[in-house]
Formats: sequence, C-alpha cells, structure tokens
Amino acid sequence: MANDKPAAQPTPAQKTPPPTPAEALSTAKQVEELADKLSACADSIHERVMRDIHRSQEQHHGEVPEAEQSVARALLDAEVELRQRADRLYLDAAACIVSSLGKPQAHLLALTADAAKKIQTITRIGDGITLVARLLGLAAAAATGQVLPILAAVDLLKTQLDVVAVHEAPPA
Amino acid sequence: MDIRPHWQPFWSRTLLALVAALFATLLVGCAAPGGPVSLAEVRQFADASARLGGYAELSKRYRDTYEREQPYLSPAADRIARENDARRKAVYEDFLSIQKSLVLYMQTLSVLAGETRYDLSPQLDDLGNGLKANAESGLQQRQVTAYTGLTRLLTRVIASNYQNRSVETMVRDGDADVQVLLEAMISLTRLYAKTNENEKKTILGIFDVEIPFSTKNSDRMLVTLAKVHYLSKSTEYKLLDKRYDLALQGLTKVALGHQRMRENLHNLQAPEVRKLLAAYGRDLVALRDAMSE
Repeated sequence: MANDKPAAQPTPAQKTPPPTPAEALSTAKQVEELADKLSACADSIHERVMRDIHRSQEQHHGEVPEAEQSVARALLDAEVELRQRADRLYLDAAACIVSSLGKPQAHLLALTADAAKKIQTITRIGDGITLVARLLGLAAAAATGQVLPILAAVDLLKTQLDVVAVHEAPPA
Repeated sequence: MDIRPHWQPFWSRTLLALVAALFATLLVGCAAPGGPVSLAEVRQFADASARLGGYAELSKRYRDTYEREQPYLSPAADRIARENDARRKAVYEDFLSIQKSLVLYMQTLSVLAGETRYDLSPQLDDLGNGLKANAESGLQQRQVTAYTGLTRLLTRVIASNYQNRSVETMVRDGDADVQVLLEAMISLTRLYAKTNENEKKTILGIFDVEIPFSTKNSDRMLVTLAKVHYLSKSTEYKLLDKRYDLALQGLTKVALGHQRMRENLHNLQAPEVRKLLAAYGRDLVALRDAMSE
C-alpha cells in the first residue's frame, strides 16, 4: 500500500571530489585518443566511398548507377554520424579538463587579490612621502612668517589629504 | 606681516629629525639595492599576455559548431549533434572563465611591475622644496641637498625593493597555477581544432559525393552552385586552420615566458633575462596582430 511506506528519501548523490588537473588531463588524453580513432575511421570510410565512386565512373562512362549511389549515400551517413560521435568524445575530454580547474583558478584569483593590495600599499608609500613633503612645506612657510606662502602651503596639504582619502577609499 | 614665532628654527629641525627617523624605520628589513629598477620587460610581457586573442574567439566558434553543421546533417547525425550542442553551450562559460582568471592575473602583474606609479621623484622634489634652506630655519643649502639626495636614494630602495619582492612573490606563487591553466587552454584549443576538422569534413564531404552523382543536364546549375560553395568553404576552413595554429603558438609562448620568469626570479634585472622577456613580449604582440587580420 502506498500509504504504509514512508516516502523514500532520495539519497543525496555521492559527490566525488573533482579530479586534479593532472588526472583530468590524463583521462582527457585517453578519451581524445579514442575520439581520434573514430575520426580516422570516418576518414577511411570517406576514402573508400570516393574510391568506389571513381571506379564506378570509370566503368560507366562517368556515371554512377542508382544502386551504387544509394550505397555511397548510406556510407556517407555513417561517416557523418561517426564524426558526431567523435565530437561527443572530444567534448567529454574538454568537460573533464575544465572540471579540474576550480582550485587552480581560485588560487590564482586569491594571488591576484593579494597583489592588488600590494599595489595599494605602494601607492600609499608614495602618498605618505608627499604628505610629509607638504607638512614640511607648511613648516618652511611658517618659518617665513609670511601669510601668502603659508596659505599656499595649507592649500597643498589639503589637496594631498584628499588624494590620500581617494586612494584609501574602498573600491566602488 | 611677520607672524613668525621665536621658536621656529627649533620646530623645523625637530620635524626634520622626525622625518629622518621615519625613513630609517621604513628602511628596516630592506636589502641593499642593486642598480636602477626596471621591470619594464615584465610589464610588457604580462601586458601582451593579457591581450592575446584567439582562445576566446575559438571558444565561441566551438560553442556555435552546431549552427554551422546543421544544414548538412542526416536525421540520425542531427540527433547526436543536438545533444552535443546542448552540452557545449553548458560548458562554454567554464571555458571562458579560465581565460578570464588568467587575464586578470596578467593585468595585475603588469600593473604591479609598472613604472610610473613607483617613480617617486616628484614627491621628493617636493620634499626638497619643503626644506628650503633659509637662515631662519637654521638649515644650510648643502645640508638640504645632502638630505634630499639621501632621501631620494632611500625611497627608491624602499619602493623598488617592495615592488621587486611583490613581483617575485606573485610570479613564484602563481607559476604553477598559470602553467596548469595554460596547459588546459592549449588542450582545449587542440580539441576545438579537431572538432573543427570534423566539421569541415562533414560539410565538404557531402559535395565530394553528390557532385559526381549530378550528371543530368538539368543538374548543371545546381552543380555549379555546389562547386562555388565548395570552393568558398574550402578557403574559409584553410584560413581558420591558421587561426588555431596561431592561438596554440601564443598560448605556448605565454607559458614559456612565465616559466622563464619563475626560473630567473632573483635575476629579473639581468640584461639577458630582460632581452628574453622583451622578445617574448614582441612575439606575442606580433601573434595578436596576425590573428586580428
């Protein structure tokens, strides 16, 4: 009775860990070789068909009898289907390779983020030096006791503080 | 108006001492410098690598294989081809994301190795101006010159060493993954090429067979059209074969270049390393130009 049994819980599919890049490449290589063989098979079918056609044309003054045309077309269909199957295998190999690249990509992105931070730090060093320079400029201006140089120096300092703020601001 | 307080000279000298202390602390942990810094070749190589085309375009072409093949397929082959098509479209984004990760890495490396950002001369000139010698500040001209000269040298040491070490870290830590991604892209490009080969033979194959069968006079126009189409497709695929080749060459060159950088990490300034990297960079630009024709 359907009501007696509890609803069967679907077992979660066992998640196999993705292959390492090396494993994936090795598997992909084997699949690729199989696909190469299928493609080569298709090539030899084509050669056979062309040979048959030429032989037929020689025997029949450039014509190919209906019966032989049907045979040739059937072989051509087989050849095309074989190529599609080979393509399917090439695709399998490609998908296998790609499935192994999660970790290397993540690692590379982390590295890139680190580097971006370092670029920021180096910018800050440059900003810091400029800031010190502006402070010294202000001190020197103050030393002259003249209003105009002091105002100019204060202005430069404010500009530099704005620059620092812009560089410090988190990316949009 | 003279608003200068009497303690002014003392204030200036104290500030000077503070700045000197600041630079001294920044210097701690920095190794003695070599000659002038130039990571220009690293930057150019990374830049050229980031811009290399080919793979993205060929990935897209791979994704769209079915659209091109479809008119030439028998019903049985069409069934398989449709499955292939769905699967290709599903994996396409993954194909692209590999390249995006690599491009981002190369672009960042290029900026990290860049020159303009770390040229601190303008700031140092400012420093010099800020320390203008005048009798009131108690500084003499030669002291200011000596001070700014020393600061200029020290700052170049600090910035360039930090930059150098950052570039080294990035190349050293990134090389293994870069090689893995590039090898994957090379393998994928090869699979694209083989699929393209099957596509070519599928399309041209039909004409190889049907043209000899169409011998009736009434077939003449059809045969002519078919032959013209055949020629045009033939030429198209010949040109495409070249693009797969160029793409593979480019990817191989990027892999080699990055490997050389990894091998020469402590030697990036050496002339022979810089020449080698420059050559790779130029080759990559040439390949890119060839592909965009």
